[in-house]
Amino acid sequence: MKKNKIIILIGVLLFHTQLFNAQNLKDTEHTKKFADYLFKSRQYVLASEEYERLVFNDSLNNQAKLKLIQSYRFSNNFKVALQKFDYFFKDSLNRLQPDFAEEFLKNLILEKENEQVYSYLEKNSVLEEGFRQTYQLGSLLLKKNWDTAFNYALKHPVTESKKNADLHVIAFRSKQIKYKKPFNAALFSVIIPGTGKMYTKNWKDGLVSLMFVSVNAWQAYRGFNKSGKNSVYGWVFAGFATSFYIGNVFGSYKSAKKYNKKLDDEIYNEAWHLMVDDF
Amino acid sequence: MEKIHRYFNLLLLAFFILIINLTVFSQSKKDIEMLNGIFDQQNQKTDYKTYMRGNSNEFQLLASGLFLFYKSLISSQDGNHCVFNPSCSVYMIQSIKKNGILIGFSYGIDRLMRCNRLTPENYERFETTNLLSDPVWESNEKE
Repeated sequence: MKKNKIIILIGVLLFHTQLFNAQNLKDTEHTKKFADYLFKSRQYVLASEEYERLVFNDSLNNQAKLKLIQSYRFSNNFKVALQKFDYFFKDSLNRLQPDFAEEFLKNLILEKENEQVYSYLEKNSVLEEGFRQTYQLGSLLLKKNWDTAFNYALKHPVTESKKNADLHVIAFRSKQIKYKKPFNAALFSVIIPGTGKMYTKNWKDGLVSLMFVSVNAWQAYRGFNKSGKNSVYGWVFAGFATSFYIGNVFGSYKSAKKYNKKLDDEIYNEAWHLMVDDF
Repeated sequence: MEKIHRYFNLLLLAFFILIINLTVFSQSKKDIEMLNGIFDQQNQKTDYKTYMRGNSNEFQLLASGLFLFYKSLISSQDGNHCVFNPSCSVYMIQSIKKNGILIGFSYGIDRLMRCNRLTPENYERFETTNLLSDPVWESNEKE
């Protein structure tokens, strides 16, 4: 009798974990409630998991799909968000509802698929004309395609949107960038060491280079002057001076390229922040 | 007394069953993976021997050998004083591997001339080490 009681007790204890699962908290209603809470409290990674379940349970729920994609975007999973678009709307990407189309564009921009942004907007007829123009101009600027962006800005007048007006200003400014020619920088350094770097506004680096080359050349001169052609001292410093001289020529070339890249990046960063800051 | 002993055994059994249930859910696989190797991170050292591989000609092999010699016997004894990351010697060997012996060496020499704190405004700075960033490969390039 006692043995039976013990067996029953063990049985109850073994099954007690299953009793906890009696309430279904993962049905559509509860999942939506919890996913919305996670989304509102900005726990986007967790929210995306809940919205995945919601979309699985209710595949016609477009609002859940949008929230799911937004959760991926807010958690910086732009690639996954784009994969979701491909999965949900593979054949109807160009006919998406405006809020979905806008979300698709945002993910494309954040994933830096600027070529696709431009071509998508060309095919899309759902979004407003002004909106499309703004994002097309933005995508051209983000491609660092300054000439095309400038021509586009000339062809398409400024709309009421502030973003559009600001992008126009950037497009016009991009046309006025004054680049430094890398070949000229190298040539200047060939003539007088360090001047190539000064040409690219690296004054301090230019002076240091001039000092390195001139000090070593002076030491080589001293060595040769004292002991003639057989001066080890002279040859060692001549080797140093030549290395620094050639290094400075290549360095000046690279410095000009870096200078130009910096100018490009400044325009790019302005356009980038203008485009994505309100996402 | 015997009765009490039995009840005690029963309670003990119930307690163990409860504990088993708890331990099953105590730690997920992700938690364990997260903790893996956290104490090894501080002991990580760069293996400069990797630069001996992938040389496309004898000059690069020679440069890699000299680099390894410098890193093993000279640089290891005097501490890290270069203002850049990667350091000038690493930059030199990487530059030679990327651009060939002549141009790569020239860029390396140029880097030596820039190795000072006069122009920090030209570079990004690593917050943790306070070193200036000047990589051979740009972020959009592959090593």
